Amino acid sequence: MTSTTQVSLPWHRREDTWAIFIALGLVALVTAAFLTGSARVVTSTALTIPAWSSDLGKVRAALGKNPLAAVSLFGLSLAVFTGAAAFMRWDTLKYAAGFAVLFVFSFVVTILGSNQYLKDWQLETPLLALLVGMLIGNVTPLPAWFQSALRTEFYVKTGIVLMGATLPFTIILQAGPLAILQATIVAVLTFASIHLAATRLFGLDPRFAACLGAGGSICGVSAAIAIGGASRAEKEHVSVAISLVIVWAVAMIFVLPVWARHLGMAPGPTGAWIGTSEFADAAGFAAAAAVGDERAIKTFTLMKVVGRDMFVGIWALLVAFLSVTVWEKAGAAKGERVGAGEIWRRFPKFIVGFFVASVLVTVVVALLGPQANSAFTREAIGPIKTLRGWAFTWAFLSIGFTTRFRELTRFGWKPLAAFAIGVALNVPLGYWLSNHVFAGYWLALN
Amino acid sequence: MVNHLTRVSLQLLDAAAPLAELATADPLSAEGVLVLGDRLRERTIRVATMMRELAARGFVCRLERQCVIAESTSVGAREAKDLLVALGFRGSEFEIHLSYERQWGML
Repeated sequence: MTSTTQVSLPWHRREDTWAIFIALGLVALVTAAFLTGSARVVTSTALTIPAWSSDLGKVRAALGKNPLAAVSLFGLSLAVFTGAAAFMRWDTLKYAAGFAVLFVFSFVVTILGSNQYLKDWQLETPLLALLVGMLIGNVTPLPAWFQSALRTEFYVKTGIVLMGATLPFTIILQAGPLAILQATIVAVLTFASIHLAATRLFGLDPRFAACLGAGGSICGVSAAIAIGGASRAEKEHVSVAISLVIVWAVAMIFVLPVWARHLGMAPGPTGAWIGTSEFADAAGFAAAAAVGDERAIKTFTLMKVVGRDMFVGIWALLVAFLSVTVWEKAGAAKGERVGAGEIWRRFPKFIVGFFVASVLVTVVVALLGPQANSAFTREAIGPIKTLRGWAFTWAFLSIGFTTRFRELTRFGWKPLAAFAIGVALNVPLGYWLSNHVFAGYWLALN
Repeated sequence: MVNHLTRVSLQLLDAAAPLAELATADPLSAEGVLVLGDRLRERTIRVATMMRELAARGFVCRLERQCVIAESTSVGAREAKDLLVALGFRGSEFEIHLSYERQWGML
């Protein structure tokens, strides 16, 4: 075999496993530090940069107040991610060197992203990281050792599990069914519209159409890949679907928050809209973060992770069944089986970590009294949010550094048109459901 | 933009093996056990034939819970299926699973 893929690796060498271990380990560490009265140790690691306008005095003062914060954040993150890299048998020296450079970029970008003028232009840290990465990555060849640290998925999954710790399980239980309902309505209609347009209007292969439909409706690149595998689509089909998802996802990062602000939408419905209509988790988080309100991030997470990502396995099973019974001419291999194991195989395992983190923190909060509760929110949840922000910044930089515009333009007009039809349905439908039909629910979430 | 892994699963004890019949047979006859042996022999020969053909095209085989797993990162799923069907194997004798994985990109 020429190379290995994640699915062929044992559980202890997979990114999902280590994203869960790292994030849950951090949550456990922060919680233990709070419960043992040593929260200060953790808060000193969770480096935050204050907002600043014209001079850097405020930033210098904040860094001077806790000079070890940047060093301890770097030390902790380097240790845990490089340790995981060693278990996954990556080249740890290269990875560590690359991560050190990535950290420096994230530090600079976070300082820039805290500038009030840039914030006013909605250029918050996530968008800035993305732009900086894209700019450098597309004009300069990057050394291989640096590229080895550009592990988008690894950082995003770690960030999503950390996000679970900031989202009480009670909210997931309350709003989860609604998120699933809204996401299912939009996903089914978008998938159907893209698939029908691709096959009936443009005469594309049904498996190719399934990849496009999944990318535009379920969960972006992950769905295009999962459905591409389930339907046995060609490699080129999956690549085109990924390109289209990335192009639209990047455009939507900028369009949706600006549009929501223009329409005067509240943060809750805006997050739900982004969760419904943005195509990729990382891109959606960047768009939700650009709203500048934690409620938008919460409703986005509920919609995207709980409402959409979780169901990729079920979609994959349905498409696999369609593929062997309809699209591949059943007579060619009569009796070919599609096992229900498909659901678990395609299930994004890091979501288990997301739920565990949420349950863990909810139980701790329930056991603490109301007074200790606010201290826990400040001294434990606060640092977790900060660490989550850093993980996402590394992810956005990685996305930017690895996005090659030249490679993204290799698709024909037919898949582009089919995908655009889906977008034309998805975006207004997502807006209508989030801001009108279910607005009451999304506004009520704090 | 993506890597792929084609996995062909070949159950050593497939549904045709009359183990269930034996389990309920009362009394259990020696002939029944011999029939099981014949079926198993037939099945293992067919599995070995599929393994040889797949290995000749670069698949690497291993055993996982009474199931032979043949994997390739170069041969596609449809190619593998066409090959096995052309060799006269039925769809119920194998299970093909295709996984894609991004080389880079966002979640």
